[in-house]
Amino acid sequence: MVFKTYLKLIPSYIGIAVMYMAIFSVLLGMTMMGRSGLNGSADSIDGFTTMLAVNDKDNTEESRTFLSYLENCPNIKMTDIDFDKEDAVQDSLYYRKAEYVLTINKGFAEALGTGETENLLSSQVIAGSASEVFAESCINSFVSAARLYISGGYDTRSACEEAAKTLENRVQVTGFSAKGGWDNNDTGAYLFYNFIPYIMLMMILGILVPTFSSFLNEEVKSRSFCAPISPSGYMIQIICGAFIISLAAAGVLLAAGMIITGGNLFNKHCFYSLIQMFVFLMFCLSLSAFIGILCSGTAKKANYVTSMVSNVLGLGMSFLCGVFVSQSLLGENILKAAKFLPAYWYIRANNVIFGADGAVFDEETVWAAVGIQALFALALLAAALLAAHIKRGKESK
Amino acid sequence: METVVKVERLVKRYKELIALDHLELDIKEGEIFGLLGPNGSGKTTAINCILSLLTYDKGEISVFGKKLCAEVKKDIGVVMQNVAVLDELNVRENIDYFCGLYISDKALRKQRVDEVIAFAGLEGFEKFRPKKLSGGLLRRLNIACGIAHKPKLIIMDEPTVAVDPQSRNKILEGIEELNRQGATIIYTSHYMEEVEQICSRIAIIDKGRNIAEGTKQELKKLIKNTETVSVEAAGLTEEQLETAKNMPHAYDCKYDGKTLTLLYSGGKHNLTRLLDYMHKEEIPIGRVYSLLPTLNDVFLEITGKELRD
Repeated sequence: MVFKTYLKLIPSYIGIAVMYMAIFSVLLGMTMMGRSGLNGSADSIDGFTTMLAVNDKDNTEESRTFLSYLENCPNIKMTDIDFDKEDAVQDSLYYRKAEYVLTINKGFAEALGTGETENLLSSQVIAGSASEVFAESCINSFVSAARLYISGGYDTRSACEEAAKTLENRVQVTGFSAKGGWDNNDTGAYLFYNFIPYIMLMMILGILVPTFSSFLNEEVKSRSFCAPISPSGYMIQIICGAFIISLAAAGVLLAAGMIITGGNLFNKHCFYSLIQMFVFLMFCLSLSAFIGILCSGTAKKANYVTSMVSNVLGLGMSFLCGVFVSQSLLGENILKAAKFLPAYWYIRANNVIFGADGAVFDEETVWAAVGIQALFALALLAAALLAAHIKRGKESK
Repeated sequence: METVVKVERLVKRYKELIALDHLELDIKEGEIFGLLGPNGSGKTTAINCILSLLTYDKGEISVFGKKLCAEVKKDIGVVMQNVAVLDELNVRENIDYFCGLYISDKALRKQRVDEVIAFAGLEGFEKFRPKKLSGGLLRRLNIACGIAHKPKLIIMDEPTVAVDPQSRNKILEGIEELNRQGATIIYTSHYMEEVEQICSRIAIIDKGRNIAEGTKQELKKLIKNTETVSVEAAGLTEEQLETAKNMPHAYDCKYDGKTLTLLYSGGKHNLTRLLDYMHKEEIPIGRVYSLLPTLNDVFLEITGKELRD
């Protein structure tokens, strides 16, 4: 009876589930659209360009070779500036006509030949921008290569030509996974599983904590214990109800994911994704039970605490563990702290499963991460049962 | 009559506080047994111990001659002091849930739920959620949840707290009806009027002890006072007051300049005798009261304090 009635409580909180489903759908849909807009093709990284303006004061064969190399650099687009005008450089940088203004100083060829570095080049740039990093990487590659040839006995002109030739054969950077590579179809699946920790936590906490609190409310619980039902039987029926609801929620999420990703949810490693989705679901269930038991004194308190805790945990864990921001972009200290949260291990395993974020598929790493999540779930469930036991002991004394 | 609940030398301590101090109760089949006492006297603690919701330090409790177990619990209905319902369910679903903890047969349960809805006067409110109900209806729902499975023993812990007089009367009538249908009822309250109205036997509890037990009449016989007569009469002389004080069976006299109050112990026609005297003395009189002792008087005389102190 407790089990059946527990399920009857769910429609009262279905609004929360619908709200988070909508958030999830929008989040997933928009991120997928964003990705496809940025990377029309996943074959190469060509969505990023640096607007480069060059003032060649040396005007030698070497400087022209260097200029020609820069023109051929992928992801660099040359732009013209009237260097005779006084404020031309500042204006172009301000209005983003150019993002990097390079001056090839007079004596460039000579200085390159003698190994001098001081007066070779000068630049004006928007400090700290990605364009600065990218343009300097191209420039440094040429200078380093040319020096290498010069030290190998080439004259300056030949060294510049050889350097340009060598660097013309640029590496095409392609996203891939070790077994089979990354394709467009995986993007949707990757994003779907990536957002699961956030949406599942919010959804499950939103539904289960108030229902746990209702049933574990002191009055209802005491009244129920007056009937021929044991406290452990009562608790088991509630947990079974919560388990069924969790599975149903996961099923709804998967169905929504199938629709949004156009049926591309199951890649060749989907088995691991589903397993770890299930384990994370168990973590959410344990956490709900724990919070529900802790704040089961009064229903009003529970409702207030639920939304506060689920928001703090859901958003906090998602930001710290790399749901919204790639783990590779997170600081070392943040990642150290995040290791104490199961979402970190979830995202890490997800990256490994999909070969994302520079990770390479490795079954052992996935199982280790899933195991850690399972330990979190078990520890919380044990804590929840212990809390229930202590609370009941206190109430009956 | 068979004993339904027997409590012997029950002791319950909360650290330094002794909540129940060798409490003794013997509740017979077919009774409405009242547990009367001020707030904090130990009524709810005693009930919770009987229901095994609380552990106790010493003593013995038996219900239907046995220690409380699942089999015994099937025949007990409980109406808690605080309303114990699920806010997410409507009236019918709530009753069905609590009834379902005792009766698994769906058809029988439906029949019992229908009966109790009619009994508690909740028709028309079946689809209402508890938050939409008035205080009185909520209390009736609480009672319906406790009695739907037709228990032989019903334990009601202050079921009329914070209820309007109209709803209270309806609840009390319902309790009497349940008793007529054969249920033994344990009724706790700090409202002596309610206990006097419906209970066949009463135990007065104070500081966890059963200080008196019996029928209303038996309890009232425990005290000296049998009648209190009050007469509004201004300007009585010392001599007149002295005469009033010495009226037969009068044992105490109070006068505040406006109202003369005489306390009697036994005797008949006490009021008539006093009025005759005042008439003879040509003392102008206003309103006249003759009050029989209440349970509050019993409590006051035994403990030296009011029930609602």
